[in-house]
Amino acid sequence: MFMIDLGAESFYTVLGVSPTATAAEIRQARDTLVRELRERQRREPTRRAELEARQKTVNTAGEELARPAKRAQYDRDNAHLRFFTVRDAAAGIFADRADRVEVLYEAISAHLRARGVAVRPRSDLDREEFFADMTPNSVLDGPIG
Amino acid sequence: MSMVRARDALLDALAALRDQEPTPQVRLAIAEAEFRLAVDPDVDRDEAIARLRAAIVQDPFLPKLNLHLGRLLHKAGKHRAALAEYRQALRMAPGSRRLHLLLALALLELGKEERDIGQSLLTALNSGEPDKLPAAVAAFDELVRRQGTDGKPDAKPAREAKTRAANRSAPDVWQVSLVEQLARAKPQRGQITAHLKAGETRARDGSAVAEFAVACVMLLVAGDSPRDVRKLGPTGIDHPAVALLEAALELAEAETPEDFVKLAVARLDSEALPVELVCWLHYSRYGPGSGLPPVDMVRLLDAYPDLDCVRELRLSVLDGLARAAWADERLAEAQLLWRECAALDAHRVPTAVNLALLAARTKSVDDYGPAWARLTELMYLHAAGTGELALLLDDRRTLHLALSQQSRSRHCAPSSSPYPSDAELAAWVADVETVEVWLREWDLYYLNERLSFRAPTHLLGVRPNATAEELDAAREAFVKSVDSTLRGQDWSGVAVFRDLVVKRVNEAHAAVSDPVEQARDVYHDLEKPRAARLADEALRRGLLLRNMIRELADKKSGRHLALGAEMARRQLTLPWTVLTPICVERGLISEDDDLVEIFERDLISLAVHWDEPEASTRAEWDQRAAALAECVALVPGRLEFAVLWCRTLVAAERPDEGYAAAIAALEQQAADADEEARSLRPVLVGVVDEIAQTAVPEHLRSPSTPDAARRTIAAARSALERYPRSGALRRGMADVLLQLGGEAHAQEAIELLSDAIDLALDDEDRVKSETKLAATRGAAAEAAVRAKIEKLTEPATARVNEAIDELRRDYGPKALAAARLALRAAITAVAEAMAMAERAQFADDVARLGRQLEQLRTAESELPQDEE
Repeated sequence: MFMIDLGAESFYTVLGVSPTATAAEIRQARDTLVRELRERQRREPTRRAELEARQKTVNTAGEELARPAKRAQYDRDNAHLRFFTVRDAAAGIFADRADRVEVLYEAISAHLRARGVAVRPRSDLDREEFFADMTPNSVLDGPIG
Repeated sequence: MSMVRARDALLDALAALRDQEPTPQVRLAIAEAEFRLAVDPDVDRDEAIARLRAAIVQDPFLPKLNLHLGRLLHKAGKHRAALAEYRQALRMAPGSRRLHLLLALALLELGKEERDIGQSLLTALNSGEPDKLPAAVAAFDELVRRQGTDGKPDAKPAREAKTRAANRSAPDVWQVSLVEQLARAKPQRGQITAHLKAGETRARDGSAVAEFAVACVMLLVAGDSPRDVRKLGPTGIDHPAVALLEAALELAEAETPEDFVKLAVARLDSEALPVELVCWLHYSRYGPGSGLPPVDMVRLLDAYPDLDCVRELRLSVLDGLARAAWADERLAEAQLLWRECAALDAHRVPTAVNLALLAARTKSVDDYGPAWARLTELMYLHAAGTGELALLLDDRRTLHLALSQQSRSRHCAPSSSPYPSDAELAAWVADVETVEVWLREWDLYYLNERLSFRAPTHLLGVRPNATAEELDAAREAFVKSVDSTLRGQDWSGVAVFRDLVVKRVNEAHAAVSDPVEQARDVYHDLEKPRAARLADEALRRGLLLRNMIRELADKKSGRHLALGAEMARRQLTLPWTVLTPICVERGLISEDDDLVEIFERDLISLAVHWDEPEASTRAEWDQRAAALAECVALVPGRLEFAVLWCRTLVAAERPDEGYAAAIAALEQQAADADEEARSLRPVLVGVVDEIAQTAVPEHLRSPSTPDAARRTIAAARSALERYPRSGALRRGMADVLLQLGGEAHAQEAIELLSDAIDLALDDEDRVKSETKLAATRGAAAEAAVRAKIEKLTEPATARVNEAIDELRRDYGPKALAAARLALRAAITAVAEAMAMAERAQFADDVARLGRQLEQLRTAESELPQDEE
């Protein structure tokens, strides 16, 4: 039976970062790994060839992912990496800071308004009443003055 | 003067104004009336948007119209469209803080570059230095220009947006700026303090107590400690907002989980706090990551009333625990928890993704199929349910692309070449299930990728100046491809999804047909590289499918027919009118080549092996017949497939269907079919005759006795009822009828052959029946003459025999006279019959009758003379 394979190694797993990592996180992960591998090559001369090969792999992964165009192509060729990642199923209020702030601000304001408290809208997006934006018009409203 | 605001009055006024001469005053009045109707709080958003657009047509220089249109689009989530309206309004009112704020808020909803500009706009609004606003707007203009071209800046983007803003706050934007800061992943404390200070100043003078109290609650939400918030918050004021803040602080300060929940339930019962706030405070203290044992974490939730937000809280807790279990490889536990989540909300896509991943990770044969099917179904169901094709489109596209890539990579190493090696191809096509996944998933990916184009030209796959015929053909091809892609999918809502796609395609068709709409399409150039890439992918897919079909054909086996037909269906529904010119341009084919014709021939070369090796079961024949039926449906003009299909149906012991299919194919062939196609008609007619003749049992097909012939006729009559268009059956039956002899049989044969001519399936068949009819008519005439001869001679000779017998029994003058009389009459009759036979040139009869006449005359001469 055909089943997807979640375990395949990717440039992201080589660097130990998530497919959604920022460029800065990727560069940092690459630099840290390369530094560690160089250190180990010095400490473990018998494994030098193996560690050099690993370092080469890390460098390749870093090179590919640090450049936006190459990374976009890589992500496209490996669509599963982004998709096959466990997702947060929680509602925005629990999962996302920006969503939470927005939802709770609205909920609290609505709660107070429902109890007769006038909470000033933050912007036109929160307003319902725009009477002040209407312009007197003599054709519509009759002679002005 | 009071302004007219009532809807009915405004509608009446509008109706009256539209009847008037459109003077500038009237047009301004119409614009104002439309505006007032649009900002009515009770009006439907779509109507409001339409009214504002109508107002702008009347007065294009009134910034409030674009502001409100932008506001409504903004609230509808159409942020880029809103930005365009805000920007237009700003051109007319460049000093408007209100517009700058709205522009900033819309930008904050978008990507990083937009957010940076939005934040710099907010900073400028707070700075009290309005001269900073134009720089931020200019940065926005530059971004728009870049996004409309190649996406690359002419120079390095300005760094101002990145510099730390001064900690200042303006009285009219402190609330929105505070919320924006709190929403950031890394809020700037100095700015938060500045905005709070602005709020506090206004709270102190009594003009913003509620707003400041809400701001303090938001600090609690953002993670500040209750103690810090208490220090900041308003105290000693009797105000419902301050009471709410106090209730929230009290809850946040509860010492034990039990105390917290008890107090939270009480606050919910008394409606002192909104449920959303209670749920968040609970989650932040006792949710995943709180260190509470999972069992306690879940148990605590049982005390809450059954509210939607509480259900969300429960789901979030369970999901958080499940993700932790997944990360720790406690997969059975994760599965149990996600199943609980699915029970709380059966339509949540992330839960479906997680369950699908879990099934893949545990490699559970039982769970894998249902979990992935459910995930796919949900992604389409959400789009169908909301009527928004764009909803989850990116997820759908990625899912299908990922599955398609994985199924391919199972046998083909990723390489720079788009085509697998021969060995890879052979291994791949041998793994039917994997190929089927690839076929299905790539088609779904392609459908969603095309739906993602905003430019109607790219969605349809046509040039901007396409002719009406090209547009119609593109629309028809798209709908055909959609039907092919969605065929066999039994997801809930798939029919609704399909209708939405067709609607979208029709809209695209109308948009490309309309030159004004075409001119407005800003996406055509923008999406050109992506459209070219997709066309390239489709082309590679088509050519790869060709390689696969040829690989299957090389196996010379009917067992691969079903897979080949599936491949061909996918291949032939690709937009070859668009792809062929690319092939020519790349030198893959010459201008005279017809790719579709080439693909059809490939398929024929596979299909001709339909009976190799013979199927071992009836089901296998049925499967091959179904595959050939698919081929016939794909290429209805080609009789090759019809011939093979009918033969397969016969092999599958389904002759009636084979007969019906053959007749249908013959009748459907266009009158103007080319010579090659027409040359196949006799073959198909042969199949019809073969089916009909096989219905007569073999032992009766060549009867040697009259009895056997009668049984043959009975069997043939029955066969003719099932297969009335078989000319061969009719002709064979006529032969047997003639063999039986007699006028009635001859007449029946003539009728059979006359009908055969009327029902002939082709010219050759008709000519055969006509020839046979002519011969039969001759035979019938002969039979009539022979019948007359017989009628003349048989009674006369019978009477002679009777008279001579009587003479032998009772010899006497009377008997002698009677015998003489009988002999004379017989001689006259036979002589007449012989003359008749001579006229008809029946040599045998003439000889026979001559001998008979001779015998009669001898007998007469040998009779004794009268005794007188």
